Amino acid sequence: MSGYCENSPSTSVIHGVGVGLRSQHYQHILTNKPSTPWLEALTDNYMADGGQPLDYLEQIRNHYPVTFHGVGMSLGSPGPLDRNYLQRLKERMRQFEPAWVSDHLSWSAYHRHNSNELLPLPYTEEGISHMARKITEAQDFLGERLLVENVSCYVEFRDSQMSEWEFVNGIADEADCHILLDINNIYVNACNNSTQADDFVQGVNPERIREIHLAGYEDRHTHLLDTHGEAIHQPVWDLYRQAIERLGPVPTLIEWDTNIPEYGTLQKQALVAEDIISASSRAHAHAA
Amino acid sequence: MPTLPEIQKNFFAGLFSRDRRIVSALLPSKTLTAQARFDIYRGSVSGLFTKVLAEIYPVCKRLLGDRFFDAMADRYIAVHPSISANVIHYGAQLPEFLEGFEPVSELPYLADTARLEWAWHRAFNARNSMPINTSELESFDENQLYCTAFKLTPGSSLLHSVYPVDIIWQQNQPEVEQPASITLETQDNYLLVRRSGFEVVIDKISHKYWSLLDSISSGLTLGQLSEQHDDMVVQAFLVEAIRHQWFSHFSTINRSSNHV
Repeated sequence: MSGYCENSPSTSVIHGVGVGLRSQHYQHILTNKPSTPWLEALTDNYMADGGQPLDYLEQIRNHYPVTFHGVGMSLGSPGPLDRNYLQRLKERMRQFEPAWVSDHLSWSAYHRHNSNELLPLPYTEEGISHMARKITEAQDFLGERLLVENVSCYVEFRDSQMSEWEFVNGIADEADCHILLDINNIYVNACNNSTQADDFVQGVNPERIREIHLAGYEDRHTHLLDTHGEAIHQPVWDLYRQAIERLGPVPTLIEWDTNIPEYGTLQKQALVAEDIISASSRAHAHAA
Repeated sequence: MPTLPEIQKNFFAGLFSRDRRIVSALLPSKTLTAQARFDIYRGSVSGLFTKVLAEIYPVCKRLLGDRFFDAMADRYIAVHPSISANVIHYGAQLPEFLEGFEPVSELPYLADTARLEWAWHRAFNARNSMPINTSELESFDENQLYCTAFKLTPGSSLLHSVYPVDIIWQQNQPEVEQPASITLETQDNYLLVRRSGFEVVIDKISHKYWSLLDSISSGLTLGQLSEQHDDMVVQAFLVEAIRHQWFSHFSTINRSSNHV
C-alpha cells in the first residue's frame, strides 16, 4: 500500500452520516449551517473552468469537510483513461482537499464516444484484471488511493464466473483500492437478478470499505430502478443495519438526485442512519 | 466465450444503433427478456442526454413543447454522440442541427435562439475574471495605446441574428407565465453574451460596436482599429467598453514581443 498518500489529512474528519451536496441546497447550507458532519460533492459538477458552482463549493468547503464522488473516470473502458479529465480532477483535489475521491466500478466510454452512463462488466477474471489495471493507473496519476463503488446493474452476462461481491473484492485487492459500498445498489441488483443481498454484505471485504451510500429506488414492477429519487426503502434500511453490524460505524452518505426535497428531509434520513449506527455500537459495547 | 473487448464493443453498439448482438451475451430475468433488460440502458442513456439538452436549452424546450423537444433530442442524440467524460460539453452542435431539422423549419428563429442559449451556457461555465485595471491604461501615452490589444471577458460570445432572439429569450424565462406576443420583423440584432461576476449578461449592442468587438476578439490593437474606423468612434467605444467591463485583459504589442 505504499506510494499513495493515505488520502488527505482530513480523512479522519469524515465520520457519521453525511449528505450529498446538491445545488438546490447551496443557499440553505450557507445560511443555516446545518449540523451535517460532512458533505459529498459530485465532482463532475465542478469541472468547469469557473463560475458560480465552484464559488459555492469553496464557501461550503470553508465550513464542512467534503468528499468527492464522480461518474466520469470510466475505469472499465476499453481505451485509455481520459487524461484531461484526470488532470482537471487533480486540480480540483488540490483546490478543495477532499477527504477522499470515489468513482464507480463501471465503464462509460468506447474509444472516442461516451455514453456518460455507468455500464456494467461481466464478473470475470479478465474483468478484474482490466479494471484493476485502470484503477491503478488512475491512482498513480492522482497520487491517492481511490474508493470504487459497486453499481446498480440491470443485465446479467452469461459469461460471468463469480458473484458481484467476489468481483468487487477481487478488483479492490488487485488495485489496492478502497470500496464504497452502495447498499441500495446491492438491494436493487439482488431483486433484479434474483441473488441474495445478504451474501454481498457478508462476503464483501470489510478491510477495504471506507464509505457507505444509501438512496431510494423506484419500483417499475418488472424491475427496480436506481433513481435516487425517493426516501430510502425499508428493505434497504434492513440491509444497512446488517452492514453496520458487520462493518462497524462506516461513514455513510444520504444520496438524493431526482425530485430533490428540502434539506430537512435529507437530514431526517440521516438521523435514521445515525440511530442505526448508535444502536449497533451500543449492542457491541454491551456484548463486550 | 466472447472476450471483454468484444462484449464492450457490442454493448456500446447496442446503445446507439440497431445492432443487437449484445443480447445473446445476456440472461433474461424472471420478469424481463434479455432484450428488455438491455433496453433499460438504452432508455437511461437517452433520458440522460435529453435531460442535459433540456437544461442547456430551456427556451427551445418551451418553444417546442416537451414532447416535440424530446423527439427532437432523440434525433440529435442519434447523430451527435457525446465525446466528453463530462456532459457539460454536450449539446454544442444543436443550433446547427436545428437549422437542418425539417420538422422545425416553421420556426426560423429557433436555431439562433439555441445559439443564444449555448452562449449563455458557455459564459456561465467560463473561467472567472476581473475587469481590467484602468489606472495602468490611463498612464499610457498615445504610442502605447496604439499598440494595445484587449481580450473580451472569458466565455464571451458575439451573436448576430435577423430575429429578436434576446426578446424571445427574455419572454420565455420560467418567471414569465404569459409571454408577450413578439413581432418577427426581420432586422439585424447584434448581441454580446458575457459574464459579469457570476451573472450571465446579454447586451444588445450596435452593429458598429459589435464589429469593433469582433475585431478586438481576433487580436487587433487599438492602432489597427483606428486604421479601419474613425478615431472618435474608437475612443467612444473604448470608454463604453471599459464602463461595461467587456474586457478582462489587455497587453501592449511591442513589435515582436507581447507583454502585459
